[in-house]
Amino acid sequence: MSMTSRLVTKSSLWALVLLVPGTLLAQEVAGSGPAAASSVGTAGLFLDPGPQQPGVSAEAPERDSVGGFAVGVLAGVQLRGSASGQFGLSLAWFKRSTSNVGIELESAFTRGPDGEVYHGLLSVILQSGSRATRMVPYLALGGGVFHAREKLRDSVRVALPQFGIKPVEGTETGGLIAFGFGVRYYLSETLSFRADYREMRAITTADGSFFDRLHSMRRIGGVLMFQF
Amino acid sequence: MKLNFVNSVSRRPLFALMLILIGACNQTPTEITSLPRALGEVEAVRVNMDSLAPLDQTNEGTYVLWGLGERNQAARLGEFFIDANGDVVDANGTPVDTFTTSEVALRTLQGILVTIETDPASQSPTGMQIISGTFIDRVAALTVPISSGITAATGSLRVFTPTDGPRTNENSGFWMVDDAGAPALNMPDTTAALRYETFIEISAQNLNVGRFDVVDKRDDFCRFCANIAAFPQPERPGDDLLLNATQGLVFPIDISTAIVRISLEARSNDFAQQSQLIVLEAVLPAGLVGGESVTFTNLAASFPSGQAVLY
Repeated sequence: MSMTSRLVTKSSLWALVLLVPGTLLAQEVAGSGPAAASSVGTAGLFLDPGPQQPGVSAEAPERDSVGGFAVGVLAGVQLRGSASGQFGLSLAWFKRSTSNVGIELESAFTRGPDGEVYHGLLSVILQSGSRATRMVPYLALGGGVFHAREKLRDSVRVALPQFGIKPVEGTETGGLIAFGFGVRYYLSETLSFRADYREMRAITTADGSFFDRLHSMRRIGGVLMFQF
Repeated sequence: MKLNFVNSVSRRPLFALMLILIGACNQTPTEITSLPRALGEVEAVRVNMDSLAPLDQTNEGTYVLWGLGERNQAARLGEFFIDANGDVVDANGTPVDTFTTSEVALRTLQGILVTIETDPASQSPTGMQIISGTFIDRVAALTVPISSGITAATGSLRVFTPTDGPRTNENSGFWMVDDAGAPALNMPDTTAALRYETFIEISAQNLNVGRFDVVDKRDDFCRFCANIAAFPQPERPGDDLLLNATQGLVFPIDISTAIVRISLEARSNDFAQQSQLIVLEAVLPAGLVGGESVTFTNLAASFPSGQAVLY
């Protein structure tokens, strides 16, 4: 693995490492207010459909704690190829009445060893248990677009003409399909951390059949989300 | 646990769809475009090579190109040939500079190696290593795998025959030793893959007279020497041409006008013929009587070389 890709991988891992304590800190901050503590506790107790305990309400809270809009920051690493780092933002909306279904718009940047890839991805999120527990597994299915930009290394740029290859830094734009799953962990009523696995396939402009043109951008990442 | 929506649409078709997509989706397209390239994928290894000698496939083997991965795992990239013009060609005689394999991800290659294989279908590099290089920023300079000090190798030989006593057939032997008995060669150490071998071209025959690794010890042959029990040979490479003549030669033989060459040869799976990696050459003058010292010429500057690019 080249030095560049090592650095990129390292930076992705650091980003993940920083995200976790960040979420814990955020949880600490969120949990320091009495309102937040009580809402988390209420949500947890409310969502247990077991025998009713004295003093605990079985009614849903007035405000749906998981529906509505959410914004997040994403840090991930590509599992395919040179383990490039990926960073991005997401904006999601979950149906307020059930919160089992939502739509998420993700915009991210992948720094590869020989270029950069930007993508936008619109996903349908199907999740369960958000009202029953802090742990919310979900499925995601979506599509989007990518734009890739090559960056030639100086050594390659010098060498290519000897092989009759013009040293051009190409660009490519195309579609993206993605499906995946993950788990969201609610740190508080408004803050959650997601561990996300995504099978992303870029539809390249290569020759061949549809399946011959797909390139894996499989990713694992973490998303810190703030719901409001 | 509530599963309102997911239950309502039935999860089975959804999971089936995902499994189909996972199974059907390629990892990397057959053609490398800008996106995979930006993410580090490599389409092929592009190689150009200079000064490689054409080989007689039957007697000298076949050139094979190998990609070296992590932990020196070798992946065969293909065989090639050198035509009469010195160009790299495939089996059909078509110029070729692009090699690929599905055995390994080319982006993971750490180095490149060219060997001469007796079995053209060999799946691991067992033959003589001719040139190799390490990829740095996707480009590798290919050189003979020996110290760069080889281009500065110098030395001389002295004409005399110590193994049959003094003043006898003195123009029938040569030893890499100076007048004081010290080593007369200055050459870098050999490697695990290559060692030095001395040949003498005389009367249209090229005789190998010994292999060695260091210049201050004797070589492994003294097969044409006379009485080494009574007259031990010097502790330096060399030979007397006094006994055991090969077919077509008569020993003792006057080595005037012969050519002495020291080359790099494979430590294992070596061919009988001298390799193309000739380091030092000395053309002996006519009229030798013994006692002369002849200086070697360094030919390492004409060693094969090349460049490989991962792109």
